[in-house]
Parts: sequence; structure tokens; C-alpha cells
Amino acid sequence: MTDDAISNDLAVLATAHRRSLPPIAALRALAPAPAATGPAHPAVALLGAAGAYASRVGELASHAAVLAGALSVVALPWLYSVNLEDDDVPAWSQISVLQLAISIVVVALAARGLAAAIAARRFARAVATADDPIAAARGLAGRFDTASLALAIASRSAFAIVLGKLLFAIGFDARWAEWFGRWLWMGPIVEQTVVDAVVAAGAATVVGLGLGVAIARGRLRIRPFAWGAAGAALGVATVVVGTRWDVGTFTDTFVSGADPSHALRIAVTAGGALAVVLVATALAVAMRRRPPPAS
Amino acid sequence: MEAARDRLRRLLEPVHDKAVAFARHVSRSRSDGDDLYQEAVLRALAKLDTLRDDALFRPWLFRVVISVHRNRCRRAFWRRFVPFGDGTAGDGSVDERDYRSHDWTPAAAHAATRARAALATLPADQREAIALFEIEGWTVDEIAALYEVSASAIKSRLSRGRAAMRAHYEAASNGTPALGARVRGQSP
Repeated sequence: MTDDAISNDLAVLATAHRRSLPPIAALRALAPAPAATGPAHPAVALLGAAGAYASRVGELASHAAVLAGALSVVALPWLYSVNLEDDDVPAWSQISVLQLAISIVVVALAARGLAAAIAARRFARAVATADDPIAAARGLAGRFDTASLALAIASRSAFAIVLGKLLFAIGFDARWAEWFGRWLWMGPIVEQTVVDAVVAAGAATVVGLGLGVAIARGRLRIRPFAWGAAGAALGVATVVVGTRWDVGTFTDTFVSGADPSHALRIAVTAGGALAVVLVATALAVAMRRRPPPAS
Repeated sequence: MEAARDRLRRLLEPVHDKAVAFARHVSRSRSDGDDLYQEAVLRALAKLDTLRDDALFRPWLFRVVISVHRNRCRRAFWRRFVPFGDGTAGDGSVDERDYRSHDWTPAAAHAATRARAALATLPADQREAIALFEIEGWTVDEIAALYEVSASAIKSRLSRGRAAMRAHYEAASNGTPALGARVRGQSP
């Protein structure tokens, strides 16, 4: 009964729009080109090109800001801790919280910048599609595509690693209360997390930049399932290797100066960074993927 | 560009009606559907040089429409968090005035509105499959070729879409909104 009603309603719906379809001449894409009536006004052309140019620059800057913000979350407190002669409690407490606040503000500003860049690009597109500067705008904007994509991948990967390290320090160590206490007092757990996160984020940045450039130049094709599976397998492998053989942390190398044989540690960190980049890229592409290709 | 426009116009003539009707069927309102179609044709114009065989224009155009539709669905998700304050954030409702015209009976307008309200509760892939199969008369194999998936995948979408519409109808007849309408209920 319900199925009959649905079929009947759909049949009615099938005829619904055919009585009021817009004529094909009403399509904007088929409207006569402005060139037929004369060249575009130079001011409009300049505005369109400048808008697209500025939006691309803004987008690029916002990616860079996100990357800088993610790195600053871990890098700046660490740098301050190195510069201090001793881990004086009140000084470190104030500095770390201040730097964390600055980092959050930087990331927030970057997000705002990204939103503004998207809005600016829409504006530029609206202007540009109405006139000749579309080709010029694309030419200008194209130069930023490679760097923008590479930075986007790197910043997302670095962010994922920083968040992962912080979550690990809070949750998986099961010492979150102590962790918070030592965050203010700069204990070894925080120090280890900070140093490892800096190294891992740096590795992810390098890997992400390399992959991004390769993708932008068409030398690599993103296959979300394969990349995700490979990243997951690599991640499991690095965790197994890292825990089975106790490769230690980079704190030992960069802070304590001990344990010079860190080849395995570097391999594990690079592998972990590559795993995160692969999974992050696969997820990002899978979520943005248009199921039916446009051509 | 002018030559591309002429080519697009020539290719578009035979499929224009079907394509714009499809865009309206997968959208929440007639105006949204028209906007979707305008955007799809603009994109088709920009990518027309990638179409090598004119005989494949119909599935190619529908792929573009579907692609634009998916993009708009994603944008619609984020629009929910933007307080416009004018009721345009999208509540999945269907305006019955879309179907009121001088040659429409109230019963037909109500039937069309009811069907569109049920369609609006479906996920985008099921809504597109239902629109193509049940409304536009495509075969399962044609739809499968369009999406480049298996026929069984399309049958599954159709079956799940039908089941969701059935649940919506039964819930509406009981006076309670279907779960899908409460949870999703969004389309651009």
C-alpha cells in the first residue's frame, strides 16, 4: 500500500517540473560572451585578477600559519626550556602557558584566514567568471597551487602528530594528573613529548612536502584506500617495532646527548610520520572525493 | 570560448529538460535545483574540452550535475553552523508552492510535495539513484555505468532508499517524523 503511494507520488513528481522548465537560453554559461559586445572594462579585469591572486596568497599564508601554529605549540615552549639555564618553576610555568595561548591564537587566526581566503576566492570567481580575466586569474593563481597543496598536506600531518602526541601523553600514559602537574613544572614527560612531537612533526612536514610536490606535479596519484591501508600497516609496524625493541626517544639524543645509536629511532619516527601523512591524506581525499568523476 | 559555448549548446539541447529536472529532483527546492543546474553547466563549459566523444555527453553531463550536487551537500553541512537568521539554514522542508500552478490539482501538488519531502530525507547517493531510476527512467545498468560501480551496488541504494521513503511515509501517516528526517533531513 505504501509502496503504491510512493510509486504514484514519484510518477506525479516526474511530471511536476516538466511544465515549468527554464529555457536553455536562460543558462548563464550560454549567454553571449562579453567579447561579442566589446572588451571587458579594465577595472573589472584587474579586480578579478587581483581578487584571485590575493585569495591564493591568503590561502597559502593560512596554510603556512596553521603549520607554524601547530609547530609553535610544541616548538616554542621547548626552545624556551632550552634557553633557560635551569627549569625554574615559576618562569617556565608562565612561559609555557603564554606560548600555548599564543599558539592557540595563531591557529585560530589561521582558521579565520582560511575562511577569509575562501570567501575572497568566491568573490574573485564571481567577478572573474563574468569576464575575460578568468584565464589571467587562473594563470596567476596556478603558480600557488603546488606550494599550497604541499603546505596543506604538511600542516594537516603536523597537526595530527602534535594532537596525537598530546593525547598520548594525557591518555595512554595513564598519568594525566601527573602530566598536568609537570606541564606547569616542565617535567620529563612533557619534555619528552615536546621533543618527540617536534621531531615527528618535522618529519611529517618533510614527508608531506615531498608527497605534496609529487602529487601536484602529477607524479603520484592518490588512491585513498591503498594509501590508507598502507599508512595503517606502516603505523602498526612502527608501533610494534618501537615497543618491541624500545627504541627510546629523541629526548635522549637532543637533550641528554646520550645514546648516539639512533638510526632505528629515526627510521621508526620517519615511518610513523609517513604513516600519519598517508592516512591523513587518504582520509582528506576520501572525504573530499567526488564519487563520479567529472570527465 | 565562443566555440565551446556553441558546442555545449548543441550537445545540451536534447538533454536539457531531463538534466534540469534531475537537478530539481535531487535538490530541496526548485530554485535550489535551478541554481545547481546553472553551476553544473558552468562547470561543464569549463571542462568541455575534456569530453572527447560527443556521444557520451549525456552521462558526462549527469556526472557533472552529481558532482556539483555532492559539493553543495558538503557546503550545506557547514552552512548549518552559520546563523543566517532568516530561516535559510535548511530544515529539509519542501515548499508546496513549488507545485502550485494554474493547471495543477491540489491533490497532485500534495503528492509531489510528499514525494519530495521523503526524497529530502535520503542521503545524496540514494536520492540520486531514486531520482534517476524511478523518476527519470534510467535502467540500473545505465546508473551503474554512470557511477562506475556494480549494478548490485545501485540495487542496494535503490532498496535502501525505498525502505527509507517507506518509513517516512508510514511515520508521516502516523503523525510522527521518521528517524531519517530528524537525523538527516538535509539537502542543498
